[in-house]
Order: sequence, then structure tokens, then C-alpha cells
Amino acid sequence: MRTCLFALILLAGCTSRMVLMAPRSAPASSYVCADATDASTCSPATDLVPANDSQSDSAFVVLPQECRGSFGQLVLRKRRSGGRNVWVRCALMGEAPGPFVCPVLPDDAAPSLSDPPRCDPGDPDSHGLELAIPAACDESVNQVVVSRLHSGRPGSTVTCSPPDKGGMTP
Amino acid sequence: MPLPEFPHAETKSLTSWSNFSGTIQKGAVPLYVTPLAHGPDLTAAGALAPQLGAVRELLRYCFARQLRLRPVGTRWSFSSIIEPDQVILDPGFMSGMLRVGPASLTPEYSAGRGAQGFAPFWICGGRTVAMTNVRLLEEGFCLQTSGAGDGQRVAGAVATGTHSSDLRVGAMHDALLGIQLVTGPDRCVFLQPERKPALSEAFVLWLSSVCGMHVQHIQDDALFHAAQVSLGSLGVVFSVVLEAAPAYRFVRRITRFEDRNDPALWRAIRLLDTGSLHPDRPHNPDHLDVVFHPYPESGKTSAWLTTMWKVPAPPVLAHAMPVPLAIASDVMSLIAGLFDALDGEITTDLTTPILAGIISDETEALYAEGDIEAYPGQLFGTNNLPAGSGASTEIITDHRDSGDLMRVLYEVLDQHSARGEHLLGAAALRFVPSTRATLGMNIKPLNAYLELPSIRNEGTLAIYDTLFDELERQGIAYTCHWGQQHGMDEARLRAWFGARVDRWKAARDALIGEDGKKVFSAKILEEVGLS
Repeated sequence: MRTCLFALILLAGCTSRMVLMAPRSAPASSYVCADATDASTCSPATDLVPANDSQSDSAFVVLPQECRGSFGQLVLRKRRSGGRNVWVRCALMGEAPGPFVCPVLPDDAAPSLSDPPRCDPGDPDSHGLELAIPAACDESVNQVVVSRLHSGRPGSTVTCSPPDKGGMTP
Repeated sequence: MPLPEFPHAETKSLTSWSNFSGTIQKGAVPLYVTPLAHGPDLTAAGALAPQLGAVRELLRYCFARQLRLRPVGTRWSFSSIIEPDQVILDPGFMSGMLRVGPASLTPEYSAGRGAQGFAPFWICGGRTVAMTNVRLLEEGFCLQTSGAGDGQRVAGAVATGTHSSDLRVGAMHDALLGIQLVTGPDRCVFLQPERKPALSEAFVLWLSSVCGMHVQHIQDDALFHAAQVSLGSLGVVFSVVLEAAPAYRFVRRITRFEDRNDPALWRAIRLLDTGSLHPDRPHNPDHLDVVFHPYPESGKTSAWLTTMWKVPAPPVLAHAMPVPLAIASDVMSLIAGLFDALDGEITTDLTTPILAGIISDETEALYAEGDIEAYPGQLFGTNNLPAGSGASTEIITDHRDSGDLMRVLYEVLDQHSARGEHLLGAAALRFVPSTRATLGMNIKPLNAYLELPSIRNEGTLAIYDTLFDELERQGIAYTCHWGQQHGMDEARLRAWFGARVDRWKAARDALIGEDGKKVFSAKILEEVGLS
């Protein structure tokens, strides 16, 4: 079922990968998840060769900056209209903003950093493919790359982000 | 062999590793250690003890076995300075950042620079420059200067001499007020200069408290200036204190020149005075750099002069800046454009006219005329350079040798293009004033930095080598950027740095001793006679 849903989501475009980027975050350690929806299948990445991480043939999503890099739920959705989007719930404590719905950019269109696509307030329907966030990330995420593995199953590479909170020394 | 375990750290072995540009490719790395995140309240006693504890236990393991350890950041360096051996320390989660409070400052600093609006920030070494920019802006400040991009981690950026073309501040290491080094399993020091120290004893006591260990406070010019550009070889840079400036923006203006030898262009370069070019702006700008076309075409632009002036930020800052606005002032973005434009052509015979046309098109698109006003974190932001394909060297001379430096460059480019070898990029000339950092590249009163980023191929690397040799043959003193591909050896290094070499080595002996020198060794130190 998950495989079928993932195929539907990706086939709505022509790309084989989806890249979710979190503003106001920084890259820390990366995890490879054999099943993009199951955190128990994630393990530390052992191939650290940036050239192997080509992001061509990708569809991009810029996650809401309001989450400040901290996410409780990321759900890939395919709408009846045929479009794709990502439903997002922030993981911030207290009055967390959202949920949000973020558009998937046209295939292979890198996000314009000077005019990034905006996420809209989300509807309550979070039905879709919920992406796993490895426990080691502690909900702080820099990037998620979802791709179809040779088996046809959706896999992912999740890059954690360090937590970030302000303050002052004495 | 089972992996060792360290408290509060993730440990793994790598099957393969490379830096971002692909100039350094390694197979397996036996031990890769990532200290995990700190707790939510960084100001609490012991908040950093687990993270620092992980670093200390890793050092204990390496010291006991005499294993070479390289702290490696986001892998932006092109040079062997980040080439790992048996053990990598990944500081990705070592990213805390706090504004330094009033009790942590000396009265002299508060009454001087503090009263002028400057503010020190304590920043852990693994924090990226990008995230530092974001936080600073949220608090109403900006870095005084940074590199052309913002992806580096602060420790790596400072340790390798990262710079821009700020005509007043210097390089990133020139905005340092203090440095915390973990020099061994049971020794941690906080260094600041003897004269006019900014941080009080109360700050170091607080640092000891959050770190959960005694941090030795050392006020010593020789040690501090050596540690400003540490080459990752004086211990683990656990944190630094950087002085930030009240938030400002740059007004950026591009001026194009058909003739790369245009007297107006070279007057601006020689005098750093753009009054005749821009009479409506202050004559002495804050930033000035020039991008030169390596193979100028008749009737087209051959040099793009970027002039920038700092202006106060508007009262309402861009707190909600979603992602840094990349205006792409950097030539690395030019390389990215070239990479796309040259798709499929890189390994075929590329004639100079075809390449020249492509470089012209890409550069004209990148350097549009007209004024732009933006925060430094926006101008010196992201680039989209494809991974694994880059090369770059950067040569530093006395500013007074700028003309000779460019003359030799064009002689070498012509010589190589005649045999079909090309620089698949551009030449960027920047200017940085003097430093007190022992091995900062900017040791002359004013320094010219010539950067030659390119798509990597054999021809490019041959051009670099010829240029190094030709500068030496013609008696033009130079050094190379620590983080870029270089032509330095022991004799060349000493020719530029002189007695500074001995001073840095003496500081290294004092800080880490013989055992530490084995652990914090690096290939680049062997290449230039610093080991």
C-alpha cells in the first residue's frame, strides 16, 4: 500500500526523487532509511561523498520557516486534482504554528531562494505517506530526500539539524 | 574490529568519504565520531559537559593509540587541510551560540567597543556561518566579515583564514576575541590576547561551569595569535568568541570594463578609491573586488568591479527572512553556471573562443549592473556549485604587487590555452588589510587575493602549477590560501611568513606537546614543513 501511494505521488510528476528542505536549519548527521516511513529502518549514513548525492531529477519542497527546523510530522500527499503537496506539523513546544501545506515545485525546478514558495495554513487531513524522522534527529531536520529504491519501495536520507535556541551568558 | 563507544556520541565507520569539491577522495575511514546535541538550556551548569565529554573521551582514545584525528566540518576546503586519516571528529551538533552578557566583558571592552555598539557572541565551533548570520540578524547584529559563501562551520572558517574583501576589518580571524581549545583529554584552554582582552574572568568561570571541567584562562599574545589561524592542528576548536557589528546592509554596485587594463579600474585597485567612478557615494568603499575574464573577447566586458558600502540596517530587520537571499556575488556560482553550460564539453576539445563566449554569457548574467541593497548574510550566502566537480586555488601577494600578479596570470593563461588547456572559470581579485594572526595569509599592510575557481580537469591543475612556479621565478612573493589547492612547500612558506613559522610552531609545542602533535597532525603540515 505504501509503495503504491509513493509511486502515485512521484508519478504525479516525472522525477524519481523528492527533496524537502528546511529553512533556518543546518546540516548535522545523516541517516539512510530503507523504508521512508519506518524510523526503525534508519541507520547512520556511511557513504559521505557529496558527488553521490546529486539532486538532479528531483522535485523540491521548501518546508515552512515557521517551524524553525523542528518537525513533528511530514506527510507526502497526492490530491484529487492530481497535484502533490507536503502536509507539515511543526514540533515546537507551546503554541506551535500550523499545520501547513507546502507546494511541490515543478520537476527539477530548484527553489528560488530570493522568492521561496510559501506554505499555506493546512487543512486537518493528514492522510498520505508519513515520512519517518530518525530518533537521533530529535525532530530537528535539515533535509529529507525521498527516492524510490531498486526494490520499488520508498527509501529516504534524512539529515538532522542541531537544535537552536538563543540566550546570553552572564 | 568492533567500534569503540564514547558517551553521548554516535560512532560509525565510513565506506567512503570526500570533500565537497571532490579534490580529496578517501576510501574507508575506520572511525567517525559525532558528539550528540546539547540540552535545551545552554546557560545551565554542565549543559555542554556531555558534548565536551565525548570530545575528551575521543581524544583519550586517540592519544593512547597515537591516532591522527581530523575535525572535519562541512568539507568546503579544497586542500589537504581536511584530508582525514584514521579518525574524523564531526562537530555538526556542536552548534550552540549565546550573546556574551555584560558581566562576561571587561570594563575596558564595555566602555570602548561595547559603547560603540559592537557585541561579542560565544559560538561553538560546529555552528555554520549561515546559522550564525541568521541568529545575529535576529538579535540586531551582523558578522563584520565572512567568506564568499556561508556553508562552512565557524571553527573551520576561522582556522583556514576565510576572508572576503572587507577593506577595513580584515579576515574572519581578525574579528576573533577569544578561542576555546581542547588540547588533550584533560586540558581545555580559553585564549585571548594580553592587551585589551574583551572577556572577563567571570566569563571563563561560566565557561568552566557549562563545560563541566576547568577551563584554563590564558592571556598570551603569542598563543592567541597562533590559534587565530590554527589549521585545525592546535587542538579541537570547541568554541570561539566573535565580535559582531550592529546590523548593516551593503549597497552593492557593479561596474563593467571592456579593457582589463583600463586606467580607471586600476586607479580604483591601487588607491581603493572609487570616487571618480561613483561620485555619488563615499570615495572609500568598505568592499571592493574585481572578477576578470580569463579569455577576454574584443568588444565585450573583461572585468567586473564590485564596490560595496556599508549602510545602517533599517529599523525593522528581516527577522522573518525565510532562507538567505542568494544574490550570488560569488564566483563559485559562476562555476555552477558554467558547469551547466559546458555539459558534455568538458572532456572534449574546447576552443578558446567557444569557452570565452560561454564565460562572458555566464558572468554578465551573474553581475548585473545597478544597485542592490542587502544584508551581508544574503550577499555572501549559498551557491549551487555541483558537488565533486570543483577546483580552486587562491594566491596572496602584497597589494602593491597586484598588477604583476595579474600580468603573470594572463601570461600563464595564454601559454596554456595555446596547447588547449583552459581555466574553466574566472579570476577574482580581492583585498584584505593586515592581521596579527601568526599564519593568517594577510600579513602585509594590504594584501591582494587572487582566486581561480574552476571546473576541475587536468588542464586547470596544470595552470595552477605553472602559475606558482612562474610567480616564484619572477620574484613575486606569495602564499596560498590554507583551504584551497596550493603550491606551497617549506621554502615557499618561509619566504612569505618568515619568523612567523617558528612562532606558530613554538605555540603549537606549548599548547599540545609532542603527543598532541601526533594526534593533531595533518597532511598539509607535512607538505609545508609545519609538522
